[in-house]
Amino acid sequence: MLEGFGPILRKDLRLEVRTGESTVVLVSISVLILVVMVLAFGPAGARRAEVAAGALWTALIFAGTMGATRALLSERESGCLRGLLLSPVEPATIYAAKLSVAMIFMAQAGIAVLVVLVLFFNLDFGGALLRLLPVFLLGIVGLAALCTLLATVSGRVRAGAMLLPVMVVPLFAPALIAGSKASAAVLAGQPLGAVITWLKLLGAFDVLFVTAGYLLFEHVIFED
Amino acid sequence: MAAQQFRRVGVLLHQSLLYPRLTCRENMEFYSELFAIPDAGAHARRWLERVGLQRAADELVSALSRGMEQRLGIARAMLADPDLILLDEPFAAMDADGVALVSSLVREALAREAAVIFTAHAPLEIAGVDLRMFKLESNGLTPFKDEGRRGSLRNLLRRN
Repeated sequence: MLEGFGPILRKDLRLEVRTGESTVVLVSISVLILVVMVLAFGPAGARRAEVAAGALWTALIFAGTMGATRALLSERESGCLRGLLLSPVEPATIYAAKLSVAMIFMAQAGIAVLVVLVLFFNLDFGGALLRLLPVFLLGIVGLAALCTLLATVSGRVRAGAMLLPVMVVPLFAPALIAGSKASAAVLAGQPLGAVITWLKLLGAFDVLFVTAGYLLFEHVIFED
Repeated sequence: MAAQQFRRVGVLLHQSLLYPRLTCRENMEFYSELFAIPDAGAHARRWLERVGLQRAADELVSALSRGMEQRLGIARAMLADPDLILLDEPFAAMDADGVALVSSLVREALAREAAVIFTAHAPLEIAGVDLRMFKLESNGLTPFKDEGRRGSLRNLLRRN
């Protein structure tokens, strides 16, 4: 069922190790957004956890839309995507591989963001960050699923890369609210049990968009 | 067309469908794996030797000449021994050795009863192969030596 998944994943990671394009875009944009947020709101104060959570998700969304789908967009621009579509690999498998690559890139950016976040907002390494992990992972799955699906649509139009955030942000809004609320609560010292509703919402969002992407990918990837 | 049907089809387009930042060997191994060919590494090596690119195996595709990229593109199209081979301008950018190579690959494909369809701007000739040629026009296909007959490729092939 997932025949071809491994080769596509390995190929994308090999290309990334060789060029570093997505990593540079993801990490630099994430850090830049965090710096802007810190300068705008200040690192300290009573609402430190909320501002830190907001900064984390803002950085993830914009870095994710610009960086994580770069491999897919450049593959389409170079014509190599046709090579994949003219192979016996099922489109849903191509989607699964591209989703996994996007998740790996986003996780990479997320780690960079978390490190900067800890430094800028004077957060403690340890308990709060560990509790943030499930929120962070659930958020990345949904965001990567949505970005991968919409990147296949936006890649078909001129300046599609610029269009992608415009399409992603409104659709990601429910998960964004859930993710930032849960992150703020966890960073403020609350246990995971207190944010279980937000985690369920994030999980539901993940199931919805991973399933939608898996089913719809073949209908949006082929050119007319 | 179901994805599994593509196992039987080999395609060379105007674009080579090769990844410029991967080496010749990596490209061939990648496509061999996509087509689920056992021992993809050895298969890729055999095809690189077959098209005369064994010495360029570790070169990035972006560093190849147009003719070398065309050879690799043809190897990519044929690596799974497809039953239907579609080649767009297969002799483009080829030197005399390249033309002889493509001709021999086509003869081998025909010998194992594969169907080969070319598109080209000028009539093609391949020694030892009786090609059926058609002109592609806005109102259909016309046999090259018989202007009076027009129709779809399927119907024309049936009539021939």
